[in-house]
Amino acid sequence: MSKSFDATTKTFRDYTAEEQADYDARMKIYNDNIVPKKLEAVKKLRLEKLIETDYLANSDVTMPDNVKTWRQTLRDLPANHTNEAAYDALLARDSDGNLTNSVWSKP
Amino acid sequence: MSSEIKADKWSPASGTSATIGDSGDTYTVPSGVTLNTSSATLTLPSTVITGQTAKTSLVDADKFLISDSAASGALKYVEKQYLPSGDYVRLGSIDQDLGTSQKIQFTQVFSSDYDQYKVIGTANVGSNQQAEVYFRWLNSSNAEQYASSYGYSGYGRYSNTDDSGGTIGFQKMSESDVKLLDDFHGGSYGRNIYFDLTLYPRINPSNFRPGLQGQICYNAYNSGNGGWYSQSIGAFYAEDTDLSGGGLQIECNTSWDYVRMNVYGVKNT
Repeated sequence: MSKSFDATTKTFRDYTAEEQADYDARMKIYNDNIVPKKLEAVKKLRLEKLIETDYLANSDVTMPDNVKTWRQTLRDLPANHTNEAAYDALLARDSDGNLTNSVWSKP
Repeated sequence: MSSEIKADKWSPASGTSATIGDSGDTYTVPSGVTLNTSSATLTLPSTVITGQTAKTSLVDADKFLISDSAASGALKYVEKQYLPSGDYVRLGSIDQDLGTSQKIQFTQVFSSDYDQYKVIGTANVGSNQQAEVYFRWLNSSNAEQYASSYGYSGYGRYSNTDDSGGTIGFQKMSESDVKLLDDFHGGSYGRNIYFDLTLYPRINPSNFRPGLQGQICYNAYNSGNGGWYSQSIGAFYAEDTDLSGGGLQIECNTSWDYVRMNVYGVKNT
């Protein structure tokens, strides 16, 4: 049973049945969206990494082959990672907040 | 009474000072007698104040002694209700660990004394996961207002731990609540949400249509440990709902941990 705190009366109480049903319905939506949101986060990171090396696609510079390969790997991430565990592995970070999956490291 | 002194004037026998009685003596000025010191220099002991009983909660009729500058310094009193005060009046507060509670409610804080309200504070949540936070209005019966009439939008920027970042934007209409944020990283006292919201429970005397706007900052989940969001948000509730005597609710989809939050009314006169 979920709980509510009334800051005016400084009292806790359990949710009513109606509140609990409303909460449960929203939690179902939340849980249904967890995996899509993780994929969204992967795509956001991928876009950031691609943008960092977009300048190498300019006509006056030559993009190294290993960067080309890395960029293609990034583009293929959603196709090659299709479940929550795979997304978690891509989004993993160390205690300092740095991404730990090597796929994000530019060669 | 052993004897009575009758004299028109007392003066020191020598010099310019004299003493009445000895330590432990008590002299009483009886009822009906006037002790007029209005033209004298009167030195009072500090115990006139410090020797009194302390009062810890003032009420409107409590009185303070003043020297009226507009009346040649005449002594007058002023009541607490007439003392100037700030335009922000604190109406509710939380400063505690809320354990496993999902909802924070500030019930029955709206009144005719105020047109706008400020909600400021910090909070964190106990669960180490992506957390969402929702807002709803409460009416005077503490009933949540959840018609699918909330609309909101926001804009901001996030920073990743490696200094990279980007913009965020969101918008929703016909919702049953306002999703204030949806990517908070809970599970640590070191990660917080900062709230600074202004509430408009009634936009003018003839229309309700409550709304809010504000700024929210928080440690992000999907942008990584230590990632940071700063975002603005504006929202309205497209219902002519009378919220007089009502309040507000902020709900988390996991559970609140330590919350330090205040609601202030902004005086309209």
